[in-house]
Amino acid sequence: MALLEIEDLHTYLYTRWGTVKAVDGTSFSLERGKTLGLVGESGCGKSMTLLSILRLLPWPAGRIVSGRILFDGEDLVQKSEGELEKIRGKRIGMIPQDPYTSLNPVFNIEKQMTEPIQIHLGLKKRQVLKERVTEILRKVRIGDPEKRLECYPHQLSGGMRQRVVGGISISCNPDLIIADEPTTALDVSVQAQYINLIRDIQSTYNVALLYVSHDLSLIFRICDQVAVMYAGKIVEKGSVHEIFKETLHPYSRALVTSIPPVDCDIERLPSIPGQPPKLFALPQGCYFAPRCPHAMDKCRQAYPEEFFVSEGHSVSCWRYA
Amino acid sequence: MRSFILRRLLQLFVTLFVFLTIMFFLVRMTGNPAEAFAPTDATPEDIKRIAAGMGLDKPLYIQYFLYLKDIATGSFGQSHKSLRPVSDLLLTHSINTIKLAAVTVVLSIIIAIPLGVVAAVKRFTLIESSIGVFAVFGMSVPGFWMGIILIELIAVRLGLVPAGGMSGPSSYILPAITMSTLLIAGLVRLLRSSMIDTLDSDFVRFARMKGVRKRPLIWKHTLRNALLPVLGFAGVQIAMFLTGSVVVETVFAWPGLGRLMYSALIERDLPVVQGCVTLFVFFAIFINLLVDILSSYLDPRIRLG
Repeated sequence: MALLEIEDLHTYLYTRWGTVKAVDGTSFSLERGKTLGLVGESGCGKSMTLLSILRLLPWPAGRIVSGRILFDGEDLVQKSEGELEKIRGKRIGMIPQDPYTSLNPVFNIEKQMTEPIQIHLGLKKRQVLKERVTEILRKVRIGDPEKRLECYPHQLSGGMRQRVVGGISISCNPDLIIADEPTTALDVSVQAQYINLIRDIQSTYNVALLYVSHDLSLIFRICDQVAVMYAGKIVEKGSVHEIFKETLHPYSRALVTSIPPVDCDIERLPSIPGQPPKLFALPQGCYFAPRCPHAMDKCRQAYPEEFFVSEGHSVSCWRYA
Repeated sequence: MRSFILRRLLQLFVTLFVFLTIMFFLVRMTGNPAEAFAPTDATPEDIKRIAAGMGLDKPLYIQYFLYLKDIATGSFGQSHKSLRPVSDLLLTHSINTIKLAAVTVVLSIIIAIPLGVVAAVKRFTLIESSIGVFAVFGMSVPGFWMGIILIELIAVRLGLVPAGGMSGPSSYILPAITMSTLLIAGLVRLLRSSMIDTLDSDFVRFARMKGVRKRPLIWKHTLRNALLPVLGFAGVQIAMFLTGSVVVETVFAWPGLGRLMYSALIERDLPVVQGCVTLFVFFAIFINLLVDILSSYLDPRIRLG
């Protein structure tokens, strides 16, 4: 059984301008110790999927309308807030997007790092806690950890803060780490280091990783599985191996080509024409059809089903019917 | 931290000096105090004699230096009216004002913080809207009206507490309620919006992702950050209470600084006016210093630069 299984998840946001179907029938699963990359452009529902898993949707607008989120066999959608508090930070660690704003400015690093350990593992003694978080800081490769513990977030660099955040997410030995574009706010030079760090931690502790990004080539490098999301739906998913070999959905392909290769100079970056659809006014048929170079009549009439091109590779596109 | 406080103390003295100088010349533009004291049938010679008795016949710069000397020695001169040393008057009246202000501030904080927090946490509920209505009422109701209504209802009709004057602890109740209404209303509104902003911040969301429970999340992670913008407002308000609310002290016949200042102005009792304003400036700067120290304690970004 998979560690995380999302089945037909619908998460809607009820806003002044109408109902936004942020997550609209998403399904995917992640095995223990494996890595799944969730890819898509801004506003496609990636973050809402993550927040649904943690049940931390914006209140009161966001609501899980239907679907199941099975984590280790138990449905998180049915859990009470009290039960969820015991899962968040303990069995599911989260690395949010922006390290600059994710740490509380008025507490020092020691306080913020020891907190989940105190809550979830019941450790009380200051010395024990301190040794433990020093150890964690070493694991996330922060030099001079004893001194850093006394620092406040504003005294650390962005890369350092993101390491601290990463350290917090692994501090209670979770089964699953969710990383929401953890490198977007970092300098390019620090990004690669951080990604390597996440990979090391992931393989050393054999923890499952759900990595969200808009960078498909990065996902190809670090993940086992890929799911490409567009307008709240998964349009293509499968093993990295399969999808890298043969990227099928026109949207996935567009994502790959819009990232420039390092070794060639091109005048103009290829981009996807048009705008992602407004989620409260979705077009009829395939949501990508208005921007798709291969759109056929059928695409404008009905949303394509999921077609399996091989055992571990499926795509929602009429061209592969 | 020490050098920070020392620097601020130095600032305090410079500001005080500037204010004292401006005030010295300003009060002398309000007219001749000797005329206010002289009986209506006094001759110009009489008035001159009275002025000489007050030291007003000397050249302005001499008066100015005498004035500074009085302040430096802490005596603030002598009241024209009661002939008592101004320092005595200031001391007795400021203690009365400080006592009332302290009761008001403590009462306000005890009430306002839970209300502000609850209004933010229980957003979009009846609780929030009731607190909101109360806050708008508190901000808009004038102090003198509130005071009179309270006296009429609670002191006169029900006879529960004295209507005015400063006697036992029960005499604090009505003036403290009147003064704290505005402060509570302001604090609640400010804290509510500040809490809502902070509850929506990334670090609060991240704390929830760590599994922090609701109570510490609100009272530790959120409140400490949300208090920072509220502190400045509270400081200004507290400084205003310390300078004595003329309206409330008049309505409740409270022998405080506000009334002392008010009657001294009417009577052109210049040494008393000067003494009061000196004290007000000192209070205002002192409270500001206190607010700065408190915010730097709450926020390490201020403390550590």
